[in-house]
Amino acid sequence: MNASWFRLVWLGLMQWSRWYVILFVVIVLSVPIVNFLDGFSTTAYRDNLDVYADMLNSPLTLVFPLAAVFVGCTRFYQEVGNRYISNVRMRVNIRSYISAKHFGSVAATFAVFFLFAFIPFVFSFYLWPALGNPSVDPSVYGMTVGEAQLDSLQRLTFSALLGSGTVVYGVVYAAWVGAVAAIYVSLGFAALILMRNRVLAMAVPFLVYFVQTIAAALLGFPQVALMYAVFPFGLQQFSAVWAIAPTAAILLVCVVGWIGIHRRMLDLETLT
Amino acid sequence: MKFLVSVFRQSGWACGLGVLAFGYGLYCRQLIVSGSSSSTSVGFWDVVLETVGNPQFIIFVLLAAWLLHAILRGGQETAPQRLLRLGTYRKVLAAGTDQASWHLVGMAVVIILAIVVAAYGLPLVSAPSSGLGPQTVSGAFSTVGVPASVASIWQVLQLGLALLVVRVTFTAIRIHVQKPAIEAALAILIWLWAATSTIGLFDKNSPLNAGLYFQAVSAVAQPAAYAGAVLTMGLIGALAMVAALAADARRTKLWRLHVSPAGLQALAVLVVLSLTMQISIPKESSLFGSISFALQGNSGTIVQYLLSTLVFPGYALVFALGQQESTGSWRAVTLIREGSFGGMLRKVAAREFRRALVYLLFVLLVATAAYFVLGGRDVSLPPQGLGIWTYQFFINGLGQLSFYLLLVYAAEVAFGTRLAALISIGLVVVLSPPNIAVGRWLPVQQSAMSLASGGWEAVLPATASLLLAGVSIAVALGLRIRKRHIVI
Repeated sequence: MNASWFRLVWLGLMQWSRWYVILFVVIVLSVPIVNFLDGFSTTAYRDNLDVYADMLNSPLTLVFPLAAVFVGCTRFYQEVGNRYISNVRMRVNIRSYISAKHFGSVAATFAVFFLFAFIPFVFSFYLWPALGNPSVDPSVYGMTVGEAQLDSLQRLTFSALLGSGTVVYGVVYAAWVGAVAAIYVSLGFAALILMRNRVLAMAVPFLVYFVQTIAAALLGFPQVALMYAVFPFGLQQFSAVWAIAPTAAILLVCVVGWIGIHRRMLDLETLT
Repeated sequence: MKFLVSVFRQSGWACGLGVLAFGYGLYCRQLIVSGSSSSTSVGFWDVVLETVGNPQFIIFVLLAAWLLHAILRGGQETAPQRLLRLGTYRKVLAAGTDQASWHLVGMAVVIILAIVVAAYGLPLVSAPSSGLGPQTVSGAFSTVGVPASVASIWQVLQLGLALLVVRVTFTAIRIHVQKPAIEAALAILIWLWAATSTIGLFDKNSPLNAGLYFQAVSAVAQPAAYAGAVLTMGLIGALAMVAALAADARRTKLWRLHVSPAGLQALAVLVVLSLTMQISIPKESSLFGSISFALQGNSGTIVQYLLSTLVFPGYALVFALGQQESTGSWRAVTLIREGSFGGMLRKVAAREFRRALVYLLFVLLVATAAYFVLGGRDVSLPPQGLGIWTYQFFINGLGQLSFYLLLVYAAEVAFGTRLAALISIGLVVVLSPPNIAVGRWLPVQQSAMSLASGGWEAVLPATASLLLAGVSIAVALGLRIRKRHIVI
């Protein structure tokens, strides 16, 4: 890594920020809040964790990898399709170019989806109490405020982190969501390089996520479903290992794929 | 001839295993004779079945020996001169499988002979089968009316198949890796998994229970899990073949993945629908009830909804991944060939209608096959059941598929990129889960088997909304195409 590599990353980020991607990012970031505001008046929440869960438990969870791939891989999708890379490799080392592009996309996606989880966190844990906590009433569930707080530690996967402080939970969970999105983007990137059918390559992370989630639910292990690994709302609390293990398997596939790509980068047909 | 050569070459292995099998045969014979009451008769086939179905004998003797054999003899399969002679890795895999099969046959004959010798000293009575308790393999089979002789043959065949799958996996790995240390580590892992499974580490119904793969008696005790294990073995064999083909592609510098979208969709539907049938059969015992339950769509649980999404919008996604006629240069070529946009659209529509019909038949066939494989036998239909299915699959179902196909086609034409299809399918999925207010306006909300649960009142508006939405998209597409026609 040298100055020119960082320049490539910077240029990649500049190219990434097209108007339609920015528009899509704005829509993605607003989905949790819109989803919450649409239905909060008819719901009673135990505490602010319930508010947060309701915000993130939007239909976007069903197509989470698709949204991540659209944010992170659209520019590369166009470059591969229009043979832009064929021209670029005459001027730039292809390994540097691809690694810079990959790094830039993964970093941008991580940032977007970190905010996707962190903005609702700030909204539900800081802004909503400042507004008087409308619809938050633990007595509906036969609980006091203290009991609801204790219960929140055992309610969801990762919510035990609330014991270490609200900010710790918010930052760690948002980082987890961002990291998972980054892994899907990395998988989509690898698929775009390895497969000739670009649309199929863009759909691969989504298909893996969707089919694995159904299969895990049908086999009676919903806790290992990729969807519940990142959005564990609606399930009882499980150890974080159950959430991390399936995602780590995807990461492993990604790493193996990228090792293969780096070893054969000069011969790959999609990059020539 | 191959058999004789195999027996001769494997004579050392076969003799060793024969001695062990003889010993185990004597042990099992003693065990069941002492365990049975004086009024029950212990037959010759009972001893054979108890020995070949004994989990300790399978795991600690046969599997251990076979894994050792794979490591010691397997290196010859990928020797350079053999690779040169056979030419491709696919042929290496096929030849390795063929050779391993004959090795297995040779060893099996010697082992069975040894067990027969061990069993023959028993006082044979009139009945060849016995009245042994259900805790024995023979007793478990006799409770479902399978004679010990048939069960013995079944057990030997299953064991042979499972060991062959193990060997094929080793060959496929050797083709890619060619590192003895990795093979040894894999062998130890497989053996540890099987050994820990025999001491009850995994639940009997768990897919990780090794008994499901090596013991035919699991078909009696855990039929659903057994069917899953057979399917898994088939998948492992198919994966080994894919691995060999991938190695050939890499060797010839054709390093690209040839993944057929239609194949992916068929596989996904096969796996997911079979799994859903597994949970629907206990709830609805009849064929009609269980298929209707599995394809309940939005009126069911989240899993049923996800399955419905995979079957219907998923099909449109596959169409978008496979077809090339909406954008790019292939579109121009098709246009020139057909003479007009109208002609091209008619051709695409006629072809896709045919395919959609075949696909719906495939879904019905997979669900029916899964029902029978998983043990369902009640094929009775409720009143108007046939009419309900015909309507749901071939009017409402076909209407849905046509709507989604039209949607992705229109999105591609309108935006000029195939990525638009992916986004439009994503949008449909986002807007259609259960209990989302806006979703009730989408036809997927009333997808699948609504008629079976909600009656005509729920279904007719859904079909009408499908038709309306489809016609609207078709009109918009027509206007767009007319505009483009002038430009081109």
